[in-house]
Amino acid sequence: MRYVVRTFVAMTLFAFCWVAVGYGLFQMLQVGTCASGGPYVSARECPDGIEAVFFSLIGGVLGLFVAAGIYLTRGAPPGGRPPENAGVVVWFWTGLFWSIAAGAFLGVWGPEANPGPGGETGGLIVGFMGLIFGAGGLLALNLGKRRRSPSTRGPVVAPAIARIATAATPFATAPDSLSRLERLDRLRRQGSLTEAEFQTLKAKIVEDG
Amino acid sequence: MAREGSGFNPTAVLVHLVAIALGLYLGWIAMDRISPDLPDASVEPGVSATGEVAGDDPQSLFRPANLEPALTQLAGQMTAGEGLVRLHIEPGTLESELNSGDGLFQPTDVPADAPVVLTQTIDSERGGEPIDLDEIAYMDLVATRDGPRWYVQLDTSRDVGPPPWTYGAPIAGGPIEAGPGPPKPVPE
Repeated sequence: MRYVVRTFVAMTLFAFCWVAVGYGLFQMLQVGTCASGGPYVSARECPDGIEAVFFSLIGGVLGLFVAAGIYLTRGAPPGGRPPENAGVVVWFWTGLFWSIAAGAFLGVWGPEANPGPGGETGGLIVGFMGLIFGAGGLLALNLGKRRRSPSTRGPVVAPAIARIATAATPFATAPDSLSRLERLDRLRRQGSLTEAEFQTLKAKIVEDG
Repeated sequence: MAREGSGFNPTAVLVHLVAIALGLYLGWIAMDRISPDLPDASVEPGVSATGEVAGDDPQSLFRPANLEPALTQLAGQMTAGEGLVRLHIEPGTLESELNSGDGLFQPTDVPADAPVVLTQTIDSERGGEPIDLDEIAYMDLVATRDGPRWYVQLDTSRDVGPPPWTYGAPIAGGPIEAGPGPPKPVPE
């Protein structure tokens, strides 16, 4: 239940904030520059409710972090093992920057785009930066996974790992076999085992390695 | 995320998909509600007084005390990197023409007392009929190759005497030139 509730809340908040960040940036590009107040009427007067656009952008970014925090505490799914959280932060990072990129590109090229003064250049710079930053997170995550998994390494590295594992096996099992043999010998000397039983069990331990 | 540690987990997939769909929907609805009516991006920055204003009214933009805050308000509507090609001053309105590039000027470059100083200079230059702020139709400050230049047009609907009815001057005010044509702005 905990998993379902926290995952649901986190992902709903994530998607909500994703829209809020993209929307905030989109609207800011449309407004460009504007002025409020002063003794005269400005030709480019800031529209009523412009504060909401600003708060949606800032609040959306903060909300994405909150969503990531809730998601990290979701626990194990019903009938499953506890999930790996290593990549979660990266996914949220990518989500944030791609939301920024989406808002910027929609603000410049979108069907309702009408960028204000300086909005087009600014939007393109922010859009491509968001795209690159988001992709950078996923790339780092992918590289990290490759490093952790020996199976994904090249043909030269994989056999080397196999050889090291084989060479290390006797050392790894030796203390266990030795103690078993010592215990066996002790039982024989106490008379709990016959010589024949001792030889049979000894051969089995040696065979097991 | 949908695999959640031990292979494919339908509950995890369902929870993620439903939550994301709901979040996107709620986000869309909420943002649509708070969407403001945006100003027209094609409108050039400018300011205007409410109601009719004559040249020598206390609220006239020819007066330094009024031009100063109007220029500040104009600067607030401009984007970094933009400059003024032309600043058009009438008693009740301030209009601008913007561009980006070299040779342009900023609202902060405009001396707020220039309209008064120019009017006094024109008055002493002409002799004859007295020229006051009321006799000025408009003043333009134009970015030219030689720097920003004033172009002053007298209000010919009033009794201003014989031509010349136009005057030019550098941004600082003097020396004044009688009867010039409108200055050519840069970039051409």
